[in-house]
Amino acid sequence: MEQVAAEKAAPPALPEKQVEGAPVVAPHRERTSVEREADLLTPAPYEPGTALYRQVLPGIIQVPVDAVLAVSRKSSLWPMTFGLACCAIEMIATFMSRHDLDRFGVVPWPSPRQSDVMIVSGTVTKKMAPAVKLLYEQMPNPKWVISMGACATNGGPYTRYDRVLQGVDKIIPVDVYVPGCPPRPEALMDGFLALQEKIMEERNK
Amino acid sequence: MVAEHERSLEVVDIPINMGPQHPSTHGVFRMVLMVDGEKCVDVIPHIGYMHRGGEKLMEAMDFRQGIGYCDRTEYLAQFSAELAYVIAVERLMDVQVPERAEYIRVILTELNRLSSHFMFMGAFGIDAGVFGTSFTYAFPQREYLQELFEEVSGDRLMYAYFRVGGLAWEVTDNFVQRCHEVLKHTQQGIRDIDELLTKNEIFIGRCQGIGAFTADQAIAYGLSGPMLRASGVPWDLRKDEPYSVYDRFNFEIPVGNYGDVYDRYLVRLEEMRQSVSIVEQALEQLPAEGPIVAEKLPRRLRTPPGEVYAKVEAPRGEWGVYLVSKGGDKPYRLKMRSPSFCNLSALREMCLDQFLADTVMILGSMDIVLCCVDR
Amino acid sequence: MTLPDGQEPEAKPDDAGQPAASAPEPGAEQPSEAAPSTPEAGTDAPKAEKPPAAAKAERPARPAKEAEPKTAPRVAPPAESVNEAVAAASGVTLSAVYIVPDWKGESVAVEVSRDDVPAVLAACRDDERLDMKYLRCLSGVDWQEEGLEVVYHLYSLSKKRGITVKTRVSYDDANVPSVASVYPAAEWHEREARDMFGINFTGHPDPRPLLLPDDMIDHFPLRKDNPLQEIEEWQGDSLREGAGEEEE
Repeated sequence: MEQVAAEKAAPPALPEKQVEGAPVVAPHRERTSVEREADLLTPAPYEPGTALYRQVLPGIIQVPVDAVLAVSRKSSLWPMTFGLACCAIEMIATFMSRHDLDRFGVVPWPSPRQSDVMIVSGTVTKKMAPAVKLLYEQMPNPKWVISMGACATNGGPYTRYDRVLQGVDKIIPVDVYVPGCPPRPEALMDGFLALQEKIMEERNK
Repeated sequence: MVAEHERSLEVVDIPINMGPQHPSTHGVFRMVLMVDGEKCVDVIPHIGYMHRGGEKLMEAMDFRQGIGYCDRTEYLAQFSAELAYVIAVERLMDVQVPERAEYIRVILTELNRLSSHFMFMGAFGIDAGVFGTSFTYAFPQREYLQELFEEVSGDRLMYAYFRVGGLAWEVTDNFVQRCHEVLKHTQQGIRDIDELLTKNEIFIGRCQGIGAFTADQAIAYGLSGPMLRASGVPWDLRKDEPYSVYDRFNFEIPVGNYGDVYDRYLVRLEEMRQSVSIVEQALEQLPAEGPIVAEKLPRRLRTPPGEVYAKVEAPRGEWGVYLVSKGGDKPYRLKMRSPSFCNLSALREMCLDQFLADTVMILGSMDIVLCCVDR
Repeated sequence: MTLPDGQEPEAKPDDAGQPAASAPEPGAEQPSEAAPSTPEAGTDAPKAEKPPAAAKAERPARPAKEAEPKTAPRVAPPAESVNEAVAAASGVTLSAVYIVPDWKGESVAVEVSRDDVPAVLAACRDDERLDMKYLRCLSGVDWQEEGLEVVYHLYSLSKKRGITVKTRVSYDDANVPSVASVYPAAEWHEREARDMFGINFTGHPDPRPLLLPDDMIDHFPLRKDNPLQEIEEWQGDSLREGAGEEEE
């Protein structure tokens, strides 16, 4: 990282051969006011390890940013309440006072635009599948999906009916599968903790 | 003198889609409302997002396996659904259920009615705008009841405890004492909800006069349960066509006057009190010992050919099971007449000429369970 | 109450896995269940040796004539039952009248021809003696060779008695007049029966599909010739195109 920093610190070199009579073209020319404004608006590309504070105060603030981001993401997962069927009742019971999920930072949020996790709780039928896909795409990155219950995992007890989607992972990528019919609230909490571990493990990707 | 730019204006009705996913907990239900300003001009409900083929699958399951599907179809009043199915098969097979099993069935079904109505109180409060308080009052009460059910049947939500001819296994030794404990909590819970909601000015303002339905309309649309009773029809299957041992208990049927949303809430609240009274009476009359399964049941249950329509009073209305059997160990045709389906068919009639915000209240007052609607 | 082997022909074409599981078992259980005395116990013993391979045939051999019938014996109701009032009020000839079990005791079922259905139901609703304003349930039943059947359960809240009205149509001509104008409750039930069985209710005010997605409405699920999927028949990766592109 120091090497990269050293390269960035050196000024760019002038061209070697200059044509006689031609004006000296310096690589650094005065920027126009429009370009100055564009510089202010365009964020500089971020490369890990090259932040300004590392050059100014090397060795004093050595917090890995990706770890901070991962911890903050996992501690405040806001699920979109996507209660489809019977598992929704156990999901609500998990949010309530007996098995409180709020202590993990999990706040149920009705809107997909402001949520991190989608808990697919219940059977996904083929009539509902386009809506599920649309809701998944409406969620901003980073997003995760918890497939709660047997129906969302592989169709569950209704898998033999041809209007039922055999598992929600046929249309969206799933991160954590919570088995059960319906899973106990403790099992859903375990699913959330597993998702938190996964977020910590995957923080560099 | 109309200005030039105003002459070309036209008024259109706006379609508003309350899509299959919306923040109330009623499940995947879609309504397209044609709205003229704030008034609803037309309501087009779209259901079928939870159609999972419960009836078709139950044709492939024998009479023990099918009980699990009954639970999952009506996932808030599971014992009522199981009871209807089991009564239908028993009626066809002419099986006599022992007394102790009947009493325990009644106790569990009434406690299940309490837990279902608590869920209604929670969700209905959310629709009215209480934003979470009613849920936090209702769900601990459901947790007490679910603990009791878990001790008895082994599962928190999908009990599968009733069997053809009685029960699956004997209840726990301290069942009566546990029931009394749970009833104490429940009575406190009913008082809490009552104090929170019933005389609340905002709640009354949101509920009174909304979605009124006359008795004739209610009967014509096939409504049942608290929806029918709130409209003034004193019809309760437990009193008028008593099944199991309901004719031995002394309880009243709350009947409303106006058929509006507030009446439906009051009817359900009073039903909870009556259910507590039924459970207390049943616990007193419960025979201390006795078999819990009918004797001499074959290991493989087979019904003689025939048909039967069995009905019970579920918390939402009349849950009917029309069972056609061709003489096998599986039903030939099983139609579940779900109360939510029939109640929901009247939604359009109730929501016409109501304000947009009131349609949510009307839908909430119907207390539908989407798996029950779509099966 | 023992039953002949292979009595599930309606299940056989669907489920290749099922007959193998169910055929030996009734055979194996017959001897133990022959203890309660049944007249068919003697005839069932040779059937216990029926090989499962025969059960896998398209239509297994029909049981011998001395076996129990598939339909319940039809018992006529006592005199002055509700069917006579119905016949008198609607002026319709009832094709069959018999009793079916009810919550306590029995109730009456009548069969009418499909064109008479609106008249009969209107008579049940409007007549003073009947006063059956409550349509409890409207369901379809698929009797394979005998056609499709629509069953109406009517009830009178004031008189506390009900009647079951049935009508039967064939597969080719599955049209039944709609009763949505008589009982508004029937609207959604008829839409559902149309989705599930393909029975066309003529004159229905709103014949849109109710339960099925719009692109799957012609494959009627509850008909017996549309079996359930086998567990091994997964839906495949046809839906997977979108899933792989998403990043976490």
